[in-house]
Amino acid sequence: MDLGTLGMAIVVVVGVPAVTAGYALLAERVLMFLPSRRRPAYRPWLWLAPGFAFLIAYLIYPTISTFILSLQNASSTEFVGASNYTRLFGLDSFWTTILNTVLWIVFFAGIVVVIGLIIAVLADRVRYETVVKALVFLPLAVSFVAAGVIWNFMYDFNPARGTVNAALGVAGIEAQSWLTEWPRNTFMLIIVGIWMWVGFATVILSAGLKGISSELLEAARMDGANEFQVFFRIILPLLAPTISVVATTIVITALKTFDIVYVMTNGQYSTEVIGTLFYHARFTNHDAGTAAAVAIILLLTIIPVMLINIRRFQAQEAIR
Amino acid sequence: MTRRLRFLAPVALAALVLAACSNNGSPGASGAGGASYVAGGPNAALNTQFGNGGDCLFADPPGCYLHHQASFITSFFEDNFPDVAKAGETYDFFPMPAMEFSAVETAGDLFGMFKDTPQAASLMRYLVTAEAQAIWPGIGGALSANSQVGADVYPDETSARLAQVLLDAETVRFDASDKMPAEMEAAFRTAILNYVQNPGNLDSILSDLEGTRETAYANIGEANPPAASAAPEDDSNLGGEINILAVWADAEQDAFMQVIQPWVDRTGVKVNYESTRDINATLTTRIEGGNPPDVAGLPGPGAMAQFARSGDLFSLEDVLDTDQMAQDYNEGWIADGSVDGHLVGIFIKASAKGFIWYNPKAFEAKGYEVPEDFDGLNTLVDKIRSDGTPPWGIGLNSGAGSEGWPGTDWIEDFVLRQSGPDVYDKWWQGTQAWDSPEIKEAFQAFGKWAANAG
Repeated sequence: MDLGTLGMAIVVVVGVPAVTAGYALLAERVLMFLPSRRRPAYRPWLWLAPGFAFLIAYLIYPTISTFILSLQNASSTEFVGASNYTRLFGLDSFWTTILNTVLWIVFFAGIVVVIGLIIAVLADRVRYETVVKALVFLPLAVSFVAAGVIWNFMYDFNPARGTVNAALGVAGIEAQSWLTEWPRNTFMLIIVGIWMWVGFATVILSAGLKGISSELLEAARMDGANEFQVFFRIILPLLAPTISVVATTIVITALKTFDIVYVMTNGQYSTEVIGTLFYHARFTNHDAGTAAAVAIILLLTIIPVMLINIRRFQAQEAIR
Repeated sequence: MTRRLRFLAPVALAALVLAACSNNGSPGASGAGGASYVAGGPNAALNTQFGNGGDCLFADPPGCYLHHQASFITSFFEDNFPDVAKAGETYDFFPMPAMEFSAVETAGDLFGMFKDTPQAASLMRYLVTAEAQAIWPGIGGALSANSQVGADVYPDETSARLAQVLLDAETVRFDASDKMPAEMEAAFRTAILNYVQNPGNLDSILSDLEGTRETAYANIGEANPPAASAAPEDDSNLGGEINILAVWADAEQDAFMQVIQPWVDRTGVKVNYESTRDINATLTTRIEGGNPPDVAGLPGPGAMAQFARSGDLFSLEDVLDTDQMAQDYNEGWIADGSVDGHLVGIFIKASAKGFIWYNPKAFEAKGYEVPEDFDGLNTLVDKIRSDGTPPWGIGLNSGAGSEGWPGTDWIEDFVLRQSGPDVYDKWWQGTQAWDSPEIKEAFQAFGKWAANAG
């Protein structure tokens, strides 16, 4: 690390808190000039102003400028109306991309939550719970790219390298080309995602499970409920908020899928998802307009998921 | 009742997944009429890395007898089979035979200047000299575009013959897919994979390509790159540093370092070398981030043209001695490095494409002979197949952003030989329809062997 980088680090570590504190003091000093009665009305806005400024600079402004870019041509030099969108909607490959993304949302999110829940509930009843959770969680610590490379070997067509085909070979089934035939290849990629994310769901759901009072379960059992009834009538409804948080997170992860597809198939053989479509439009085709249009479509699909999540949070807050 | 439905839904979904994942009658290793044309069947071709496509030549007994690939494949043979692969003994080549037309396809690694610094200008001036150009061919796996580099620098007779083919050819054409706009090239590579997988869809694949042609060639403006300033006449002890970005890693990176070592020794410039396989994205990101490398390897002439039009590349007219260039380089190479009359790219190394590799020992054992013409090749291929071995070893897989490229070389070879250089030029320039008979014919010729679509 040279002196310049070191200096920068010092400025950031010391400077940022200093400026933040300085701003707070300055805001209070400014408020002093107001009559004391009106200070409470202005104080929150002054304190929130820097946060809003960052929000506008890093979220609102890029969103608006992306939307404007999506109405312009490939090199962003002139307006072309909605033609980027109409061209996308006219492509078969675009609808395959959307279908793949839907497959990711439904199967990736669905299976991760179900398996995560099963592991969390079952592990809750054994002594070596932490070991199980650690093992299931481990793949999440592997980077997406490394996971893609590992699973490329798993799926390799050559049974000498490909674990899956080697296993099939032992059973006397001929080697399959796992990653070239649609829709099988999309499911094969989803399996990689599931392998990585089940641990996340398990850990969060398991924490939620610990929050359910054991007296409640005890009472149900005393009243003669069998284990299935305890699970479906008591655990599941009480766990619903946690499940919804996990599901939303996983759905958003599914919508943002990029790394696994990029590393394993790069979107070839109709495995393209919105994330890789955006990348290819921007960096392979140098088409800023189409890429921005894809980004806007992704944003529009994420908004409903976010809204549902916010509604749920608000409903929960209201109950409390 | 509803509760039972709720329970059944996941089961039904699971059944759907199983149905989708089960084998839907994939084309097996052997076609209906005897052995496959390609080792392991079309699926093996799709799943094999290009560098391993010719591995079956060296198997015992051979898994294939012929492999179509550019001159640089020799370094893969040597790496994959260090004890077995020997130029002239266990591997040798013959050029893809002429059909209606005779021609050689070439490719090369371009370098361009993205920052106007004396170090960059000095390096570019050094790289075009015969001194620099002779180093990589001497190491092996590369040819030089510089005509002053004699056949004696090549380490073995096979590479010297490869270089001679390039020097002797009357019609030389650069790899068409490299000259197409990036969007067209990417669609072309995707089409190769889709065609080998589903040869029956050829018509819809070609009409998709035709649709891409309409957008990919739109909005192409005139290039007017700024001129870089000349390096100082005497650049010994120039000092400073230079940032270089290129695709080469490992052995290729070492070779490149050897190429620039004499320049580094003379000028004392500190070299910061960065390697990336996805050069297109890395370059774009760095340029748009206002942090371009001083000099960089270019993805190909098509991308070079895009960078020249956006004004990111510097023109080299003041940096290089153009008279000397005209003497040292065939005008085709200078044209391939120029955009709208501005020289912006130089070739670090060149390769010749469209060669068919075979194992002389295996040929001898079976009594096969190198064919004289295309009919002879056809007969040989059918003979090998009827003897029970797939004739071709093909590997179409490659890293992200380049999958399928070996197939584009096949198609280019056929377009050039079946329909001639004029159609070929119109094709990469974007004025030849993809669904025209000339292009379709080339796909079919490739598909007969690579996809058993005879």
